Amino acid sequence: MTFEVQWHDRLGSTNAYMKEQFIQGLKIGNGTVFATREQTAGRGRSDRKWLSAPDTNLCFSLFVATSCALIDVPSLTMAIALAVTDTLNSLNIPAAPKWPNDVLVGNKKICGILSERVERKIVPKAGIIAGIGLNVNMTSEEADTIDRPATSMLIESGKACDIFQTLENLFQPLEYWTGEWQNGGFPNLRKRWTEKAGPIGKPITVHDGTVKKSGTLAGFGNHGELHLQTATGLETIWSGDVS
Amino acid sequence: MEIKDIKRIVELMKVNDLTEFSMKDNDFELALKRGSNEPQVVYAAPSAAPAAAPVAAAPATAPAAAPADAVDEDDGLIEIPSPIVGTFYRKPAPDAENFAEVGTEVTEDTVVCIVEAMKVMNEIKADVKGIIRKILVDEASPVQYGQPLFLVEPK
Repeated sequence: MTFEVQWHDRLGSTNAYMKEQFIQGLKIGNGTVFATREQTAGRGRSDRKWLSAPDTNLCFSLFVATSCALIDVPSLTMAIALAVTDTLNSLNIPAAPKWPNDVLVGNKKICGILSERVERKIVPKAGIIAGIGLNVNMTSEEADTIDRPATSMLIESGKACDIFQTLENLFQPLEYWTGEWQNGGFPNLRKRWTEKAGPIGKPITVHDGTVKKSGTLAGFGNHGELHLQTATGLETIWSGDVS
Repeated sequence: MEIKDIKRIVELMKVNDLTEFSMKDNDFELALKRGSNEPQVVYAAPSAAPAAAPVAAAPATAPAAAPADAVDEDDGLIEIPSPIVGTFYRKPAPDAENFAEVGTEVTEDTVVCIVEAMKVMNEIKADVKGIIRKILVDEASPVQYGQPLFLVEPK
């Protein structure tokens, strides 16, 4: 994968911008990255806003050319979570992926990833746009203003980091893990994912809307779906928040 | 077993990259084989149906191939099935308007809903031209692979 980076001073959402450019037929290929120093309308699940002051956090979207089935899209998110985890671990930040699309330090979120499959009529005809929001220089005071526990590389390491260099540092693990995903899907990620997000047998609770299911982690299926062992049997989980 | 059931099996074979499928249920047998392109129904007929059970017998003539969209033969409406297991959403955000209502005209490329799986919001296109006649799933409900979401009157 060759990374071609386009930095912007300010964008509403890197995902929305990349999707618009892709559908309009602009040159976007495997490894194209749109990054912004300030994201004004970053989206989270259910369109929760992803907060980011200028030059504070790393907000970028990566295009991965693929015609994979819809069911395989979420595990690319998981591959990217592993790449972010490896990068943070190399800086002695004890990050771990959280199923299916976050990276946490302890119980605090440091990175969120949102992926979306896109299609058009010219080559590359299909791919996934993965939006990554990594908290880099957010202070504790700023983290306290977020409605959920959050942290940053600055808070965890005590050192301010250059967001441009942080993006560069992600490229090698991104290339490795997206390559693993492209070569074999989630089965190629399973061992590492389970090591970092496990262990098997740990007690977990899945909240999905008003439904709450408790049990133990039994493992992950071939598309990254979570297997929950409950008192009444094994359940496959495709949606929900795990705690 | 109806044609739409066979179609779902064919789709599951594609997703799971299976080349052969067979089943037997009392007097009904079905065998499917997939080549490099499209699946073919090799055999779909009752095996020597017992004389006392004609009601449950499968169609005497095997369907030649699965249709592009499962058709509700009772009223001519076409189903829009979920292409993935997940959670059904009729709107892009809690405070947004629904993608489609009963009576909405759609084309193949019209986004009619989102099925969320593992935090990926999959926009589902109608893949058919017509008018939405029924919405079969409630907001934020879990849906299975191949489960009908909408019924469309084709145009």
